[in-house]
Amino acid sequence: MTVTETRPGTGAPMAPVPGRHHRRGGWRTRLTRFDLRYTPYVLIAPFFVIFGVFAAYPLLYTGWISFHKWAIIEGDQGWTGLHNYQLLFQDSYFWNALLNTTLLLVFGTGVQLLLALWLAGILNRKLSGSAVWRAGVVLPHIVSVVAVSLVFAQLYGFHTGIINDVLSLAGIDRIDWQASRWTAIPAVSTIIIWRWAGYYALIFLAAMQGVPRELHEAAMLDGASHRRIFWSITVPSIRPTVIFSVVMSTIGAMQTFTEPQLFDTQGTEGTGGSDRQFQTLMMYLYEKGFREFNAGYAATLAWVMFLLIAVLSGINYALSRRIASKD
Amino acid sequence: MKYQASQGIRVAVGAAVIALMASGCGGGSSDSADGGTITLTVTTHVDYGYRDLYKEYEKSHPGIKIKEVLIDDLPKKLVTQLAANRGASDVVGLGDDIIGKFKPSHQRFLNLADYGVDNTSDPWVQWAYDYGTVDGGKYVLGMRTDLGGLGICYRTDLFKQAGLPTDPEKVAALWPTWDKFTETGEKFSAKVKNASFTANTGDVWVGMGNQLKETFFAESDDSFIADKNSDLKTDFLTAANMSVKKVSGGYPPFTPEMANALKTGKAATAVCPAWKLDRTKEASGAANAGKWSVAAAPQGGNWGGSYLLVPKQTKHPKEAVALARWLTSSKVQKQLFLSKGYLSSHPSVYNDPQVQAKKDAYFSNAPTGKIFAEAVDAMQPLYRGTKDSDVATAFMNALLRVEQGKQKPEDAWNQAVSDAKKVAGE
Repeated sequence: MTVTETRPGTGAPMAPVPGRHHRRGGWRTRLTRFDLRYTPYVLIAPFFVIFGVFAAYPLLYTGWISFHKWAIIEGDQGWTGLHNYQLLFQDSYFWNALLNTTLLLVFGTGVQLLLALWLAGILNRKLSGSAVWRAGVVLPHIVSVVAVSLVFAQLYGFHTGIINDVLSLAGIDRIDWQASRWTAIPAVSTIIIWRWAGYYALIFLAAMQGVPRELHEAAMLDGASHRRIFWSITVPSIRPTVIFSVVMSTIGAMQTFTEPQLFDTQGTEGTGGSDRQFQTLMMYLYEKGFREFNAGYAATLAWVMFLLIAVLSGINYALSRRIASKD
Repeated sequence: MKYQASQGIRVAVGAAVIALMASGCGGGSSDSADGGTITLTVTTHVDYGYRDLYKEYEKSHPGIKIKEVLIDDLPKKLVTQLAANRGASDVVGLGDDIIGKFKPSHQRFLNLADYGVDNTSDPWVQWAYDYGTVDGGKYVLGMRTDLGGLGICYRTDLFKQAGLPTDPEKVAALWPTWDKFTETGEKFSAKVKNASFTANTGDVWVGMGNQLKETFFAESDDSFIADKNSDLKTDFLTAANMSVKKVSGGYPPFTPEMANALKTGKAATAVCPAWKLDRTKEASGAANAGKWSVAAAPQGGNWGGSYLLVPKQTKHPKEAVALARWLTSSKVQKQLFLSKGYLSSHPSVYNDPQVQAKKDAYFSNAPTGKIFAEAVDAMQPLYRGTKDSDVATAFMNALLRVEQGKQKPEDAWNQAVSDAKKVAGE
């Protein structure tokens, strides 16, 4: 009601019309109520419309496809129920891809977050030209992932790669990085770390800037070392940011595709090496869906990945809460 | 104030939602007709050397504009465009190793027979034409571009160093069979230490496979036969043994490492279908002009060549077919051979005296026209299954495992067969 009175056009001009005032005022009031109650929904609706169209609907439709034999061009070839899921869980390539993805999650994402924390800790100190350093760490992230991966693939080349050149100077035999899982996974991890460590460092740094200086100063007066301050004050203080980063980067790691795909310069069509030694889940999905045109199986893989990510994010959230709240 | 503001916001939000939805649905097919001009989009999986030809066509066909697009993983993009029934180009070019995958979905492409395409007025090599058709020849799916007559590129300077002849005819006489090719390689390796005889085993394997009548699938019923095909196994072991005997350098096909090996003289030979001459030139650069030559490959044959297809979703079927027919005509293919070295799929062209007399200065004036044409004439057509390209990867990976020293040839073969079976759904 009070709102109505402050509105232009509702007061004086309406008043001289007796008898109609009540009705008009009622209509206006209802409109106002509607406005107050529903405008917020209208304002946030675009997100849900877009989410529905581009996320929820495809997700459900993908689930529907996974219960069918489904060729990518011709579409539905008949209902098969859980058959695709049965096949998937017996598929050694699936377990192999899951192992590789998990290894990349540990070696790539795990290391990358620790490195990001360390970088943020350094950037958080008083450095001269700090803006330059801060811009510097995020630079690798804005370079196209395709370009980065291609450069790294050449660095790791067997015959002509610089890394092997350096190793051979040191008297170490040339390493065929792509030939085995235990050389390919660390190599791909470096690409991931290179791309993402700076990005997360900036997020951590932003959070660290919000930690009250007095805490640091008090600890310093008590004679605590930089390391002790970092682990006992800084990191626990940015707990929500750490949790957010762990969850986000886990989701990203589960979908790793471009880096290992482009690391494989040998034209093996997404199989990730001669014996699938660095094929990730996403690469396997690509192979099934877009090389063999088997949309039903690819959809099944997509749904299993979705569930894995959901479970993993949950575990991650619980774990990182506990770890971060210890101190 | 507040009322007006919120009304304004509501209108703005509404407009934004509509705009987003509209933009989400827009895009797609790139052909358009504005002001009487028709734009035809031609998408190919590699550079077919058509750029100058497009200009020529636009000049002689006013009202037609041609847009060129190159996408190296075109098949992957094309499936989604066909499934969604929108977004595909007016003309698409697919390699002969991949067109089989699209044959079960041939209804998504125009039947070119309805537009008067057959093999009478300007005939292609019969087998090359036939492979572009389905339904016993009633449904013409694609028009053949070039052929890949098989040759071997070799470095004359390294051959001299090894005490081998350098004249193309004498070189070809060194290797009437692939076994002799390997033997020559061993002789070469005994004399030359700083270069390997051949760049890799993958290319050798593809070249050999294309000389067979059947490889992975049976011509009679498209069933999986790689496990019982003894010719295929012999070829595989021959190729794999080139790594074991250190005849191969292990520079993987189509990689910067392979290009670098050709440029720096680390590999003395490379398997060269006609279309690869241009790429070899590019990879090894002008500084190596005259150091290369080309000779006939053991047992001749063909590797590669492509087809132009017209997706049914095109808005200008007549114009698209006319353009594709022109691009694959004997007149244009002769032009392409003389400029780029792409061997024509029209016998009238590759038997043409001017083509047969063609020599390539970069390749020490080797008679390329004659060598490639003879290779094709010597070959028998190969049957390709619908899942050929899926299965092929398993064998390429197997050769790579041998090259990486991870497996013995026999074990690699066994794993390749079981991997391939899995892909073929056996």
